[in-house]
Amino acid sequence: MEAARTSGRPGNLFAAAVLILVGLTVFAQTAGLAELETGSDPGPAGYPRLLAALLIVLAVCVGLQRGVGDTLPSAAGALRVAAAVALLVVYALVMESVGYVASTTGFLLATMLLLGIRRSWWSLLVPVVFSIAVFLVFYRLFGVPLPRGPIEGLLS
Amino acid sequence: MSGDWTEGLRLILGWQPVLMMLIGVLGGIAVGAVPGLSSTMAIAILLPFTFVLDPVPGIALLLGIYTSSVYAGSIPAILLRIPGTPASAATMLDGYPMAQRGQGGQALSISLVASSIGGLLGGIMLIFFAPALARIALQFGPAEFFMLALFAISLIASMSEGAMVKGLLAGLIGLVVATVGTDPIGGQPRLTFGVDDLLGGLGFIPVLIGIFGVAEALARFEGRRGAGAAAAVPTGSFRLSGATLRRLTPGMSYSSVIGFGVGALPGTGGDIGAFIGHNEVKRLSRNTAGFGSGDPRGLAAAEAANNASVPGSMAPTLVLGIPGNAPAAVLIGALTVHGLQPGPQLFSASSGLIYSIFFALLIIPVIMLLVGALGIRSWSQVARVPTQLLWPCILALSAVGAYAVRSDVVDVLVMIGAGALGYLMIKTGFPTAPLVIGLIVGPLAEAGFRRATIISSGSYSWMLEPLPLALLVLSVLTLGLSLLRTARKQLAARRERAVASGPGAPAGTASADAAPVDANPGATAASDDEARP
Repeated sequence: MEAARTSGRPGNLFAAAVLILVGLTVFAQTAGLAELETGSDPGPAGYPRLLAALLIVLAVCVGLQRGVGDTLPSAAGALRVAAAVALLVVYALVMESVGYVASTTGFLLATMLLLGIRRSWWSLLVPVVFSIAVFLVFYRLFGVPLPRGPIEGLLS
Repeated sequence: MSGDWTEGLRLILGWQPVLMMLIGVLGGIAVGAVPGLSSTMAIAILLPFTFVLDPVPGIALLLGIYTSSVYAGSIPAILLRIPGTPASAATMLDGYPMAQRGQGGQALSISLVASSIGGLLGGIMLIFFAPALARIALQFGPAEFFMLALFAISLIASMSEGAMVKGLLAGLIGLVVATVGTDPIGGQPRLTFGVDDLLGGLGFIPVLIGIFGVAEALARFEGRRGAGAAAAVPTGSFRLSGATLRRLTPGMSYSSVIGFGVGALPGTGGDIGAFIGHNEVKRLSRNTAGFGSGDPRGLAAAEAANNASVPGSMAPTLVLGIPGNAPAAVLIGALTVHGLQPGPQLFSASSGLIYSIFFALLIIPVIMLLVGALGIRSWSQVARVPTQLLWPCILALSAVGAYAVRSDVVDVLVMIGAGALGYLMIKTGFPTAPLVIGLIVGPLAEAGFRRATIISSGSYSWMLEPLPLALLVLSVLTLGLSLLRTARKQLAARRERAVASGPGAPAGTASADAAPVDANPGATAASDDEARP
């Protein structure tokens, strides 16, 4: 195994920057609400702002720490993770129009290819069987609402 | 009171709850036996599919998965030296050496029996303590609840050794995310960025699925090849003699009490309980030379403790509405979706449901013992299943689960966002469990904080009342002790490095940059595992 690279200090600086941004966003977004504060109630803005202030203070602490973190992926690994997220987004967006079975089969085929699983019949069989089985069990047996398309019409 | 018992028994003994417990136990064994699938992940992903069930069978299914996955995590821990769930990390200490000696069968049997006994004893303790605790909790006001929430977050943050500030930050993020939506007291929309779908808050079920399901699965996309299957060592006989059992009983019982107690502390769970149980039994036993290198007593202690922590973690969950650990946080999510808000009120209002949960926690270990014994020779095969095909399926199941909550694609997108966040947290060394605890206790904390302030007409003097103050002091002490421990460790590490300084500098560029302060990747991984559910 190659030497483990951890996210270390850059990771901490990145996290601190994001967290400070979140804290500031909370302050900005609750600006209009601040006027609603009454005498005795910290108000809808007071409590989140208290949290945001704490968040910023602790984020600064983390930014100052020499960080440790998990091992970093290789560039190709990071790209695969990003691709998986992108595939998930596409999956979510087409789910309702294409229907559950077709979208899930497509998603599984794509992600398995991404993982380098190329034993042809496994990477074909698992997606098809998995999506149909899940549909039958959860939709037909338990009545869980799943997006329906033309294939779902044939199955139920 | 006896009416509650009979009602609880009637609710749990229907065909549906019993079937669900059985399915849960079977599913949980599979989840536990496959390294990489954790109890929390399984409960989070399957949670949406239980909404169509009534609350009792739905919860029974999830409790079955939780309990038996904590047991079955021991299977790969014993055979492969990979904990199936974090709760079985202590199981490896004595379980794996036993398997190496050809006593894997014995070890598996001991782990099954000890887990069942631990679960059963934990369930009995829960029945004794929870109602009394609930009566006390009924006296709690908003100030106490706010401080309890704070204590839970401090405790879980302090568990992430060496990353306490990150743990606290994760908890804070959870609290902040919980404020998105309609403000609980005045009804003002807040932090919704104009998105109407967020008025009801960021659905916390999609967030849970994202953090525990998607994030872990995403991490698997970094590498292409799964770990190669380990060579099988002959397991030997599975038989347990009466004499062995008698020898193990005192340790198992003692360890169960410890596991229950650790589980009952908000924020701590089976992983820590098992280590403490193992340690304490070793301390009180004679001839402890074999502990840590294959002593059955050590194995039994670890396994009894981690399963006793399951009912233990349900105590604060059911009585206070404050989750005992990450899986319990997900179970609170399950209850709230059914319109049941765990806490002292639920205890008196829906006592039938609560008592049925008690009974479920007694019945599940028995089912687990039977099912576990029937299949004990086959479960070890499950542990060797190649997991590479699983991760895409986990992602698909997560997405569908998030969708199923409200038939809303926005929830799936929230889940993906939470998954990406969780992945980045893992990579930058932030524990994810505090975030979820923060998310769950968030509404309770905000309502507590604001009501307490309103009651004391705008002053914060409520923080100085005896009970809230005591809880505040406890929280500060917890964090202080954790800081002290970390500082001491760093000092020791620095000294060690000073002694061994010179040529053999650690390889890698980033770690050299991070040098003096705990840059040991091994230590990071350990604390990460502990913090992750």
